[in-house]
Amino acid sequence: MNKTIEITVKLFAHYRENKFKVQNRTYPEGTTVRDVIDDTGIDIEKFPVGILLANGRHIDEEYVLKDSDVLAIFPKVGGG
Amino acid sequence: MDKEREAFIKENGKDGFLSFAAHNSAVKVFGATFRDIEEDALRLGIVPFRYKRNQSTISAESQKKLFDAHVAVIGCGGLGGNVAEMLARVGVGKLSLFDFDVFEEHNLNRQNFSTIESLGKEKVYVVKAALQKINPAVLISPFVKKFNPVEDFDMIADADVVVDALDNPQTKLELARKCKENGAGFVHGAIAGMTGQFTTNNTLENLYHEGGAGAESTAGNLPFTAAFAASVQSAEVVKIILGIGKTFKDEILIADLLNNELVIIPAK
Repeated sequence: MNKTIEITVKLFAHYRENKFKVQNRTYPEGTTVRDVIDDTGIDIEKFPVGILLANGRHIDEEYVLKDSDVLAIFPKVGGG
Repeated sequence: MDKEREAFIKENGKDGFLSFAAHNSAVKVFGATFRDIEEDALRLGIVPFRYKRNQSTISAESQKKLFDAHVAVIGCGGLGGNVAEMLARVGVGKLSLFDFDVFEEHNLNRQNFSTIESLGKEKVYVVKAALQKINPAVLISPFVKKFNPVEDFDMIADADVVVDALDNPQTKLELARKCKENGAGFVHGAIAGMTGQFTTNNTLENLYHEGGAGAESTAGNLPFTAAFAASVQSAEVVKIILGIGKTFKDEILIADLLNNELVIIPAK
């Protein structure tokens, strides 16, 4: 049986619309941030991805999540 | 300094302040500019009365430091227009303003110097004219120009602080890199809908993994978000110039005004 990891996903600002603020989610080992972004169904066409943090440290979409990681996803903000 | 001018300013300065009327009299009597008299007064530790409510957060000595400072504001839209106004009011002595655009109807919801009359006019000229009415001591250099950080940085090489009031991530990234290379103070701000983000760290790669537009394309830009962002940025500028307080040098502030959530995270 494949091992799984349990992570906490936090969504910020525009990503919360019709989604959630914080949720515990279970994924197979080897899951990347990109996989989680796809799985949450956040609309990255409308709101492209900005800051990504795992346990308070900056990461990118290729980052492979570990058990009990806290993943924070912020939309990109670029207006003036 | 001219001895007679010095004597006049000292004589007319009351309780350490020079009134607008006395300031104007000195301009007439000595054929000097408004800016010259302000400089003389501040050198003598006499503060133009207009700055009375800056005290005592900003001392007479600090007021002179602000007068001597040069701040480049890159972009004169929702962020830049508000930043320029706040810096002129607080007493920053020299402002360079960059924007290639004219005021358009869709700017009216948030850009402080956009009015029915200013539609179709170059933003930097409108902002300069308005700022001169607010504070004639400020030296304002307007440039109708799409600022290219790589090619145009020489134009702002002597700026003490550069304000990122641009509206696209790619140019923001380039501006931050050039400020880092040149050791210039850098204050980033960006908004989308009711969200703003800020840092005084000159590395933006963690905020923008790639250069394309952000949530603002869909969420727009609201007036209170722009003014909030400009306030945070202006406070950072003043703290950098005066070397006071704590800045977002090592941190990023994310402000979500919809959910009333302020988050501070490390910049790196």
